[in-house]
Amino acid sequence: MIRRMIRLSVWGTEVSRVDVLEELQRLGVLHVEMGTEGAPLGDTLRRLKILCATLQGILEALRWDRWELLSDEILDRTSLGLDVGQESTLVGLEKSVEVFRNRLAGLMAERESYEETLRSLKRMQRELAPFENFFREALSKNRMALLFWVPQASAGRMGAMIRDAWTRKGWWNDRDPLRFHRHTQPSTERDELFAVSLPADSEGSVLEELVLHDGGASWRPTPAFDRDSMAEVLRAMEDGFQWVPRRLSQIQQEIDQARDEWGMRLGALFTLLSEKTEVKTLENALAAQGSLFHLEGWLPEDRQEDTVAALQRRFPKKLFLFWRQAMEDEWHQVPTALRNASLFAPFEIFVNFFSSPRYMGVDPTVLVGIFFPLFAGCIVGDAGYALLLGAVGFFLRRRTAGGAVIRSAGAVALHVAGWSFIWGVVFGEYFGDVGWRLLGLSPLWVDRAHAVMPLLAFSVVLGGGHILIGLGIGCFDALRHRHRHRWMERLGTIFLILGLAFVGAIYAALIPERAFLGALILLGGGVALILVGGGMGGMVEGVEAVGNVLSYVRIAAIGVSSAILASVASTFVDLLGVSVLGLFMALSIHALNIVLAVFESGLHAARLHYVEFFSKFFTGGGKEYDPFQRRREVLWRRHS
Amino acid sequence: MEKALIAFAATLAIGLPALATGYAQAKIGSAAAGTVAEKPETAGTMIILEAIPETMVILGFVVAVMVLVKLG
Repeated sequence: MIRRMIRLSVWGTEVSRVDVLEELQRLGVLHVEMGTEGAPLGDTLRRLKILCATLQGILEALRWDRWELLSDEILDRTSLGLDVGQESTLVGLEKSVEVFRNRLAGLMAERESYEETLRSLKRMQRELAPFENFFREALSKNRMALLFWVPQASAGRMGAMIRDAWTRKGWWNDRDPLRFHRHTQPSTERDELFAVSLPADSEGSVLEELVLHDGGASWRPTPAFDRDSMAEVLRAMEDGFQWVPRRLSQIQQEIDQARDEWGMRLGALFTLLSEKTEVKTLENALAAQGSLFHLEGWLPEDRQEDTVAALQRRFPKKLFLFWRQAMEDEWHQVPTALRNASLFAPFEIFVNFFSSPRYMGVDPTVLVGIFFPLFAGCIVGDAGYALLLGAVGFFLRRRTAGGAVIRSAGAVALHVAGWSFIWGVVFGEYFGDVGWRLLGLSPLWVDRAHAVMPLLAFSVVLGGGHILIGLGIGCFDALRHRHRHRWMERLGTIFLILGLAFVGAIYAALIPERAFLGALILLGGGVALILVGGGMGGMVEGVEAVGNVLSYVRIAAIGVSSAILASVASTFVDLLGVSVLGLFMALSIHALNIVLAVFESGLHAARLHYVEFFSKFFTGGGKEYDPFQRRREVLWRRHS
Repeated sequence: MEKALIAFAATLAIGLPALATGYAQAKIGSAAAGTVAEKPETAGTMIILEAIPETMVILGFVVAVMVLVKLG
């Protein structure tokens, strides 16, 4: 449900301004309506913001995110002596944070450099791998080994050209000839690596000149491993593979140690400074008002009494407080705060994900909490899969590090698992037909894989009911807000759907034919109401609503596919026997089916709500309730 | 012959919407990938949009089932 809001105005003197703001921040209920964009920053606020940004950067670099561990006690301890209004405190903080930042930046730069070195080493290793035996043989015979990049076009004749040149110079020796080896690198398109081994006393520089002259270039290792000879390069690389990862590990250990030692303290400091920055920002905006200040905002009606009492207790006779109900013409600017029973609260993620409802509009959370698991469970419809989904939901719900969204997702999964189990019993599905095969468990209603039509009809009836509820709420809401055209259109659509349902029931011989007159009256009345309320546009929407009802057949259709796929999994055991292959195939298909069933059920149940159901009554675009509160509350809520 | 034609009709009823759904999802998918790359917060909406064309193949499936029921 949507909480009723109260407009609270606070008047006070300049002397108590900061204290009042800190108290309001502590209370954390007032959605302040005051633009702070144009307010002057001031030197202290600017420096505080820079400090916060630096601290946030440090925490991200350290990968510290244990916000849920920051208790009030730790924050209170950290805040002792933390008076950022004093220049000496602020300067001390800036210096300390800068020193830490520089040290961390140095470590990270060093890590990046070593990571680059390791990448280069691996690249060189890949390049040299095809020449490993060639170099080993050359170096074992104490020969000189050279390596060149040569254009692919000239690589073929490079050996002959060198041999000719050597012969011309009279250096060619048949007993100890030059040896060549070439290899095309997959990473380059036009160049090849060309290796030459020659006697140790040969003129290596002449060979280099020859290759360079023909468009080649000497292969060079990265500077860290550049040595005088190939033998030394290979040794340096071998050493590199030892010490570079070792150094990387040492650096990572230092960073981890810094995170363990300082993460909590820096997180506490960041939280406190963020809180002070927020107070300071608002204070700067209020400072322009002179010796008196005036602050307005919205707070939930159920928190009005204790908020006012707390302010009056803390600032007796120093504040003037005035509060009133929101007026109808300002409903569009009142923030929307939702409050639902703990059973349904996790389903608020579906509503917030779509759009925040407008103030005094309809909060569909409870309805989503009822119908989403019902539909998704009907699609999954397998008691065995439900147990697995329940285990996943339980795990997510128990997770503390995943954040509120993950925990809500876990609760939703538990709801869906519960309904999946019930539907599984109704359809007699326990990992497909395994329950029936092993224990003789038969369906309470229908076997989905073999009786499709009853299920299709049931899903349409389910859809009709869901859409009628949506239209009913839309009609009631329009009546409440005195939107004549809208309620007539909604009511007309209800009559239209009911009339069609009657016709369908007569056709299926579920009710006597004499009810046809009633169906005609409903249809005629519905069309008339729609035309009066919404004209031809309304008529189009009415027809669309009928289409929306038919859209619910997806519940049956996807469910049937899932049931058939589960049966297929068991068929593999029939075909291949209780063998490793048979069981592997059956388990693989079940695993695939579980993933598909869970994903598709969630997606389509959400879609049925967003597209079919919400369009009948829901008005989004509400302002999110964002109270002025301490940063720790936001961080804890997000992370715990 | 009549049975074969009915079976063929059921095949068409599911096959053609499946092709159309695939085509629509490919178009939506590529556009969604671009959108999510620029605005990651739209990922949820994009998943919903990606699921919308599936209505065609689901209704095609229903028609195919009804045709096959006719076949007995």
